[in-house]
Amino acid sequence: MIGPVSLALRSITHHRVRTLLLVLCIALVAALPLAIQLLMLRHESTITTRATDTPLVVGAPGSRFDLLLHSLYFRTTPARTLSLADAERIGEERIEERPLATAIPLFLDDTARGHPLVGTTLDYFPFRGLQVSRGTLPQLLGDAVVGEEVAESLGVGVGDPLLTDSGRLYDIGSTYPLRLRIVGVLARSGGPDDRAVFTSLRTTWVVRGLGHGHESLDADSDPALLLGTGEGAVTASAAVRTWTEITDENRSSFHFHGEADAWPVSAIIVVPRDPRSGTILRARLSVDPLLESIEPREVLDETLSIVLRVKRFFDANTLLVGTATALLLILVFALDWKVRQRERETLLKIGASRGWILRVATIELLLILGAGAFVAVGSVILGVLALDRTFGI
Amino acid sequence: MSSATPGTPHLRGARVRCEELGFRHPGGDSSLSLASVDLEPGSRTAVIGPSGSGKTTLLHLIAGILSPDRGTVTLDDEVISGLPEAARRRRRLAGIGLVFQEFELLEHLSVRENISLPFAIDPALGSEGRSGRVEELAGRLGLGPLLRRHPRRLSHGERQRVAIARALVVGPRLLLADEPTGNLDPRTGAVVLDQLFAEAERAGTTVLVVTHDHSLLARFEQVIDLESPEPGGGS
Ligand SMILES: Nc1ncnc2c1ncn2[C@@H]1O[C@H](COP(=O)(O)OP(=O)(O)O)[C@@H](O)[C@H]1O
Ligand SMILES: [Mg+2]
Repeated sequence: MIGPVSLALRSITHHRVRTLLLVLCIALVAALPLAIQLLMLRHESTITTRATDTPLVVGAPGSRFDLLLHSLYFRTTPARTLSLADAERIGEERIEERPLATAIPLFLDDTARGHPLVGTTLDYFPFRGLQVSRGTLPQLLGDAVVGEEVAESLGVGVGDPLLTDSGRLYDIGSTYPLRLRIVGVLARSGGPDDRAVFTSLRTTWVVRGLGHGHESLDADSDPALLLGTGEGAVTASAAVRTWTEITDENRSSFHFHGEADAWPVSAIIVVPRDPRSGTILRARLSVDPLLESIEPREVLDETLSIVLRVKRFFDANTLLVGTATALLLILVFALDWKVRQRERETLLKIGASRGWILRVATIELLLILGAGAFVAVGSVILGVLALDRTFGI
Repeated sequence: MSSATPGTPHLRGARVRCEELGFRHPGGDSSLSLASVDLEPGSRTAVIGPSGSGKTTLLHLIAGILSPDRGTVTLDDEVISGLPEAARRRRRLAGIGLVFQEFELLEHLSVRENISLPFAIDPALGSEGRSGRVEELAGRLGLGPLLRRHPRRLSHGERQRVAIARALVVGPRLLLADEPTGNLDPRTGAVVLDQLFAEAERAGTTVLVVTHDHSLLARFEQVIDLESPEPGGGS
């Protein structure tokens, strides 16, 4: 009929307010360190994996950490850029007639509807193990592939247009939005690539205003095309024309002024052919004062050691709060034990053993601790899920 | 001496014998000593005496809650005062019902759960036919409609009847009641005592009741007066 467990449960539900306070108290104290631990674990593995997978990155001299954030996570833009010539030169580095490495240039200075717009070569996709789940990789000027999360959050797919934002990534500037054409969606990879838009380098240069096309269409031929006209319509209807589009008709007219070598590249991912080539290349690059080369894992470890120091402080703090709470809980349970002395005496007089009474009390304690832990874990999981959805960690 | 009424299992009340009992609470100044007490099976005995004369102590000695400093308590043919605590506890749980002045119900349990408490403590107790027993006993004590209530929503009379049901649910051979009507008004007290006697008589249970109310003494076959603590003595 009723046993120790149901007796403990009756007591718990009878002292509702006390139980609720205790459970919340335990949950609060347990949730914070649990959440930090979980976030650290998840973050650390996703971040470090990407850094470990990227052997060498070259950028313009400046902050090593900024270069890391820029080239791996598409955050921040470096103050200075390199040129395409630098990428080509690194790709040409040879020993005994064999190239030492593949150089994958990146140019990232703009966004498309809030997502980083990454210009790169087709080498980037196999290097990161990225494949399209729908459509194709960008082949033509104006083609774009989007990460899975971009497609999801913007509700766009293959064949849809995608406008770039006027103004630079993390900076205020002004460029005319370019209407990109989505030709593919990348399969989810669980990293920053899911949240980025990829095009050819040339497309990003057009977005930056470094290249342009000359309009040959009739301004009044088609309202849709009118909106899509390029340079030719600027003076005629600046108010109407809010963006530029690269079409099959005008694609060939797009061109770039200036030396091809000087076109900008914001970072170069260098993939050595083998470890020995990597060592030789690093040595050669380190003497070039115009280049900054970093090993992402090394830079990340320096940074993580700071984070770890902060975490250690947090841990000490948690330990203190935890100890204080534990003492408080002990006090509450001790008071409760005293208040219920009469009840225990009754049970003893009726014929219950001390062991049985202790068992019921222990079950009650464990149920409360368990409920606290359950609420803590539950809220942490819900919180992490919510964070995932909001920030895509 | 009375036997079970037809229709209930035949149970004989316990014979209780106390001899040359002496007990002093650790740290207490007064001591209890009794020449001899004899409770016939199925008999009804009252214990009277002023406050502090040792009435509760005597009950606890017979119940085996306390162990006497000298003398013996014999339950039927077994000297329980010499048994280790655990053995006394088991005898008490299965064979001795206790009713207290303050009811001593568990506030967080319903009437049904309070009555079933001995079964919760030892599931092996009266495992056959116990499911109907709670309802049957509660019904006879007028608690049928109150089984799901909690003690705080009961009158004092109802609470004491729940306590009586709890004491009797395992079918004890001895019922010890410590001022069971002390917290009840005289009318309710008389009714509750009637019910206690009726239930005890059904099963032939031996009854020992501590009371302050001398008007009730006529209903007992034997009275133990602890008035003069030192020499002690029976009725
Ligand atoms: N736990 C105890 N410790 C010390 N002395 C006690 C204890 N319980 C009772 N006493 C003393 O023993 C004597 C008898 O107490 P008790 O049996 O409760 O008397 P009664 O039930 O007749 O009022 C009293 O003097 C009381 O003060
Ligand atoms: Mg007393």
